Amino acid sequence: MKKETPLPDSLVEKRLRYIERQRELHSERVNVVFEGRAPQGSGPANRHGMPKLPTGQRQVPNWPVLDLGDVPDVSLDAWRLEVSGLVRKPGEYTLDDIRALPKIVQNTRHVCVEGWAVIGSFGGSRVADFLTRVGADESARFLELRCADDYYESVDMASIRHPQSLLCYEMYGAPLTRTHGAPLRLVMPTKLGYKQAKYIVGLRVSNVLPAASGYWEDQGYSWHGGL
Amino acid sequence: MTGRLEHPAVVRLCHWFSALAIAILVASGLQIFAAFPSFGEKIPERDLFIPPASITLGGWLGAGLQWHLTFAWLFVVSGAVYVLYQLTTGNYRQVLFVRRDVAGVWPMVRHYFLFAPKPPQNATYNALQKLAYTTALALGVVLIVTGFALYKPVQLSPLVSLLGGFGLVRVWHFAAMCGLLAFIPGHVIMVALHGWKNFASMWTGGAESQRRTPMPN
Repeated sequence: MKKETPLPDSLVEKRLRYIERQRELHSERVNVVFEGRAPQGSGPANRHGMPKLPTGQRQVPNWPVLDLGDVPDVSLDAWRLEVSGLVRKPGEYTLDDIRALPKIVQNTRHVCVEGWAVIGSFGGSRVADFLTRVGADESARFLELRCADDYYESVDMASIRHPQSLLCYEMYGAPLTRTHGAPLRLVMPTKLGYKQAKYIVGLRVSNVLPAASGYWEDQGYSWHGGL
Repeated sequence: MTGRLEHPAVVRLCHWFSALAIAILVASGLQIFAAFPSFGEKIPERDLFIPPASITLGGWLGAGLQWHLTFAWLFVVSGAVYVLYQLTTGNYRQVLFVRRDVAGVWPMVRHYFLFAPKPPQNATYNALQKLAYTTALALGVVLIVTGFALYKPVQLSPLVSLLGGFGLVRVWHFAAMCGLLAFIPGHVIMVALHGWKNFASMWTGGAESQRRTPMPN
């Protein structure tokens, strides 16, 4: 993971000098005194003691849930992710294997093909990191996904290797719930919702798209499904 | 000087291709709308109205999308060809509503709706016609811009933000469609009132006209 590089002191000093100069020039208009002002935003305090939700944002309590009708009860102990295809280390992987990769938390918009959209907070590992972990062929073209509820998907490699494409196991800092695809789902803010498979149990790296390329795609939705 | 047809072939083609595209886009657009017939939250979903199957095209969301995205390109291309043709020939001066047309609108409204005498005409189209054509064209542009914003909201995210967010872009897209639909009955009624010859000219090109406005070619 990238470490945050602190700003050089000179920049801060430069900025302070600038503020001082502006203050002298327009003493009546420039008000940069923050002490005593209530912090904006709302919600519980974050690690800096400031309201967690930025101004104008709110937490979404009513996340829509769309699935094939049966919500598979996947036992966490028994769950394994089966990796196959053009990879150097095929086999079964546990949730801990995925958790061991750098964790990404992102607030991204989820857009449904139906026309609604909602912003959520998702935590998980980058698909790209996992593909590196299993030694996936760098030049392979597709990733196929198999799910516990018999849903299936496939995505082009460029999109799946996007830094915001996650193997997601958390929402709002809590473990993914069953209705949202526990134990593992795809989160991909560059694609429509139906591409973001839930209850993932199998990944396959390939160069040839299977005839059954996706549950909804096979019925007429766009396979690209890009936003 | 060779006479020019009332409606040049390019304009006629663009007109009828757009008409076909609009019919299909409205029907398939309502099919898409039916998948989430609301401008509010998904949960709880409060449906605004559910378009009856008789006026939708595709039968379900997936097919509706395919019709819509296919014929959207016909709409874009015929619109672009029309605008380019009008600009390069200078024809746009006939139909573009400009500041000096403002004064002519109210007398035409009085003539059409309040039986006032017809104001004298010195151009191919009167001020109200220009206003209607220009508005319809502007609505077409709004429909295309908001349509692209809905199609690729991530790649065009600055545009989506500018338009007030994804949810509002749907509202603008829908509202612009309503505006364009409002134009059509008036347009068709006026054509009907002017008789068969007027209607036929949009297919045949009509008579060679002596233009009142000077044309560059």
